[in-house]
Amino acid sequence: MNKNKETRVVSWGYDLIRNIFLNHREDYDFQEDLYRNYLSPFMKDIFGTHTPVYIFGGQEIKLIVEKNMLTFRDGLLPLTIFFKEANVDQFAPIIAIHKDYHFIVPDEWKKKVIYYDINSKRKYSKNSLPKKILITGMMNSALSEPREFEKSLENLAQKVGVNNLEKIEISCFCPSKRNDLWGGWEEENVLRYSQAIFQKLKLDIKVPEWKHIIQESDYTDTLYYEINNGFFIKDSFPLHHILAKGAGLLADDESLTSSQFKIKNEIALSLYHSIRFYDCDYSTNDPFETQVEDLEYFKQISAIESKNKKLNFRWEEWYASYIKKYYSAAIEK
Amino acid sequence: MSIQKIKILIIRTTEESSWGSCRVISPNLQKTYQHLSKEIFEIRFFDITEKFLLEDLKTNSNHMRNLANMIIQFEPDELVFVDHLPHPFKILSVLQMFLTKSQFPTLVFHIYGDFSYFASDWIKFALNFPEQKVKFIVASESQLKLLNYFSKNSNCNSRFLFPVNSNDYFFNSDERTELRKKMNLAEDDFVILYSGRISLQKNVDLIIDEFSNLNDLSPGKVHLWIVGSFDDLGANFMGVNNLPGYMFHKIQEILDLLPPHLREKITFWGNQKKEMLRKINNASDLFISLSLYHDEDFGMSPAEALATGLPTLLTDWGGYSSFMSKEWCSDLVPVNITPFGLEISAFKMVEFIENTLKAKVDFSKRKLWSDKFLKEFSIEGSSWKLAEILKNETSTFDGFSFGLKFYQKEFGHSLWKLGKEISEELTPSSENYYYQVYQNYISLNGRVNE
Repeated sequence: MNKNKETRVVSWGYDLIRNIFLNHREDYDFQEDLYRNYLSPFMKDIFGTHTPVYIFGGQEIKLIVEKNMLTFRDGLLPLTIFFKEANVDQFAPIIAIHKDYHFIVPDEWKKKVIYYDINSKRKYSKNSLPKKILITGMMNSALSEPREFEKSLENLAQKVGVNNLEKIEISCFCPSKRNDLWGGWEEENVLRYSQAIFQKLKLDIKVPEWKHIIQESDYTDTLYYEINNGFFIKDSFPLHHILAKGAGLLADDESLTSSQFKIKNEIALSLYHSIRFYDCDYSTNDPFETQVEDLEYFKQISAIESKNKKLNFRWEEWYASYIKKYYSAAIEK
Repeated sequence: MSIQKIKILIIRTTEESSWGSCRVISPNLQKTYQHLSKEIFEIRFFDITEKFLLEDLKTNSNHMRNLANMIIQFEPDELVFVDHLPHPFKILSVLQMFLTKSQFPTLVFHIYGDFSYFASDWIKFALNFPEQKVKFIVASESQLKLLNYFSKNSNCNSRFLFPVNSNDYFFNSDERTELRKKMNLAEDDFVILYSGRISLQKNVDLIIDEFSNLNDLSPGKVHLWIVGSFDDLGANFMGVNNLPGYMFHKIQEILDLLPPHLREKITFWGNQKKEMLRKINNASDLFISLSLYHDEDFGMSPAEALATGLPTLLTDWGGYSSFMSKEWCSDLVPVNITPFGLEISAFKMVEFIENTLKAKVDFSKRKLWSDKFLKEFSIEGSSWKLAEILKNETSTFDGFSFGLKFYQKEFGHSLWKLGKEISEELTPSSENYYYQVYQNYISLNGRVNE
């Protein structure tokens, strides 16, 4: 080394370039974006070499299709519509969707689709209790029916042990939103959700604001539990943010683990969590597929004849009216 | 005849700051005030939260009305703001509803690194409080130079460091031995430590890059410990916005390029509480930080490292140069602002580490350096300096210079374009406004330990 001339130049311009791997449309106006604002703060972009995106996220579609791999963070409804309307030959890349939704993939897409889930290094259960629990979710019936909300809380209490809840500090962030994602707002009593929290867990619940949750830098000894029916987004920003600060998830129930999936790769996303990718053995008869009765609507949406072949991923212009028309029709059937 | 005491009313927040170092700085500052001589000073506190500022002004239970009444009754000589948030201007603008201009005593502000970030609030303060008696207290020489650059005159500006709590950070040989044994380190293993946020401008990637070169000095014996959590703040002052998760990936990519025998020598400790952080400092052999953070006004992590007697190598940037002294083991890596960006001297880095490796620092030296550092930087050791500032005469504040207004305008533009394009004036270069501001952060002291 030439000791007299050895210097290091520090430049952050390259970091700017790497962080704009998802170019948004020129005319995309975040302030007016109904969909993203509605799902805030759960719907926010994250960085990843696996190109994590939301289909209905305002990106330039032609730039998305140029990527080698896409990981769709969307929930069941956008995914259903995507597989219904998108042309499989138009998409060169490999697409990863959450493994909970493997049943939605049409045959012609199976060769391109792999599956993922999120894993945490720390896992909690009755035998390994957290000191704290942080629950997030949304309180309206478009995003979580009261009964679904209650069931999620019952599940949490059962996994951690009802008798253990008193000794665990529980915080809850559940913003309420008007139930008008696709128009036709009706009043509903969100206290039903609050009541469920207090009845299924306990009375002594902390209720931090989002800005304080996001500013906290240490979530070790914390179980993160998200109440999310996964209809609109499956892979949320809080999940990644809280896990990256040291939180953990509930331990997997080994008896329910499907043998259909074979892990192919795992990418670390932080010191504390990762994303796992799987291949799916479609020849295996998955006995748990029948457990998706509540999701029968989505199979029906897939089956409905669609006359709208225009591939347009703008929420405001097309998606909203599409959802209203086909989702409503499926429910009526 | 009794001596009239100097009456100090301190406004402090009861809400913990989101900024890790501020969670340490504020309590230590408060303890320093409490340590002042009770024969000379009468100290009272008023606790505030952001919610107080939103209360209905007309109700009798309004907390700001209570503060105003306390000021009227107690008649403090100085009203001190020890926290950076809620911003002092927000508190004062509500107090203005209850107090006349003559009822405001001398205002004393402890200035943090985010001074430039809140430029608009400071500008509003200057406009709303013309000819107010003020003391701005910054924590380092460089921050003082920066504040002087942003002020019409420097009469109101002074310097008092952020104290270290000597009960939390000190040299302990037993802790060193115990942790090194737990980590399976031999006596001649050499541990380089970085603690702090793993953030873009902290240049932890550069430390890892250089680590692979340093291993040639003592093959297989040099380790790198990194303590702290990843953050994706980016460099928003110039328009660089990091997506959540970016910094982890950036570091991971560098680690993946290292050969296994080097990769296994790097340990990420994550976030650690102060007791464990002290043990890690005690067990290490050298602290390094190559930060070029635009708000590096002081450096709590280096201060804590020096409090444990750790040899410390820092960039000649911001508050870091204030740690240089012949009383303990520290050195600066020269920094240059070039037309193309910031440049640091790798040669100086290697030289210091080489020398420290050869020196084989023993326990008695660590203890000596720790004691000398704490004599100057501890709460007990430094309180007399604070007392001098408080006793000094106050000047009338003339306002901020145009430089601050220009900074605010450019920063505002950066935030508006965040993630889309880089600011022309605030991208590090010797040929734009960035240089005018941040040349104040370079001490040009170079080597002080010969």
